[in-house]
Amino acid sequence: MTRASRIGAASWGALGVAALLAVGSHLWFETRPTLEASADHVSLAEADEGTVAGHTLRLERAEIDAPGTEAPRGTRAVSVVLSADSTAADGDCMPARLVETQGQRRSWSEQTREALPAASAATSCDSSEPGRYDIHAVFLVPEDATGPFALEVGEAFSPNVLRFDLGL
Amino acid sequence: MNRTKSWLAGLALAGGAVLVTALTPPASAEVASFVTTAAIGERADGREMRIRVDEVLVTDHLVEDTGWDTAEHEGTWVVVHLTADATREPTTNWLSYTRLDLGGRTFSVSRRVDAQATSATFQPGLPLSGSLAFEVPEDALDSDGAVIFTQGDVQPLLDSLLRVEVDLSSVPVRGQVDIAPMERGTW
Repeated sequence: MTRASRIGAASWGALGVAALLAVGSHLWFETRPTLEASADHVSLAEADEGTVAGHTLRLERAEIDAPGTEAPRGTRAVSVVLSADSTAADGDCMPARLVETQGQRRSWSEQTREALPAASAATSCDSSEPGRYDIHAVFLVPEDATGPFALEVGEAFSPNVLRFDLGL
Repeated sequence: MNRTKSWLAGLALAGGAVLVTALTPPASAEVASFVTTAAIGERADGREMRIRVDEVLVTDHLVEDTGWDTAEHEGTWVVVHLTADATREPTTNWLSYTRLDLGGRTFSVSRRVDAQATSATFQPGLPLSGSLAFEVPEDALDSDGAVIFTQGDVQPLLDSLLRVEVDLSSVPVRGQVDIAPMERGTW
């Protein structure tokens, strides 16, 4: 191998190493933090019980078109009842959401007052109501939403979410 | 490589450069909205919203029923009856960004009228029907234009912009138009 060809080979080698370093540093310093920031902060309630923002929540029952609910034409009412145990020191919760865990993965906010006009229970966890109480949230979904459904309760000002699989 | 081949290769590279330059989108395309155009009665689908303008009316006497009160408003009004829902997750207030473009002038939704669809929460797959009211000068009624729907900003960057063409010059002025709060609708 001549001196010129050795220099050529060394240049190609240096170029390859530089390219690998450029790609690697981009993946490590740019792509990795973005992926970690968007990582799932959803925790699944085990044995139908979990904690969010300090509130202990337990899934009592979930049913579709439960007696007493009034689902407008073209919709179905998904009722969820949780028991809650809260203290005044607990944080704030976001309103509960119903999510499709497969298919279109849509989500709905509660419309309890429309589907259950006489409802008076809380519709999400509430630190202004310390002690044990019931949460009753009703969601109206289109008839083409066939589940499976999960209930999500998020912690305010935080990405943390507690998820209950409803078995519907 | 002989001289002829060198010239051909050079010309091919120059031609390729001209082609790439011609095909490169303008800088504004990097942030431009994704525009969907629909006619009255057609549904326009955006990233987070779906909307259909059912009817566009013009009146000089608007009567609103807020559910607890009624109010009458004199003026020159363009009333848009529409049906809308969300695509994936609940969304609120996005109709408050709606504009009416008439002959180069842009009008926002009137704040004099309460029974409008601006504060509704739209749920996926559960369409609601309601109205928007625009107060415009009388000479704007001679124009054609468009109702423009966006979410989060009047000129969304890299997001949906739904445009429904209207021609008000062919719409008669009604003696009275009634509007009421949103109610469940159908596609």
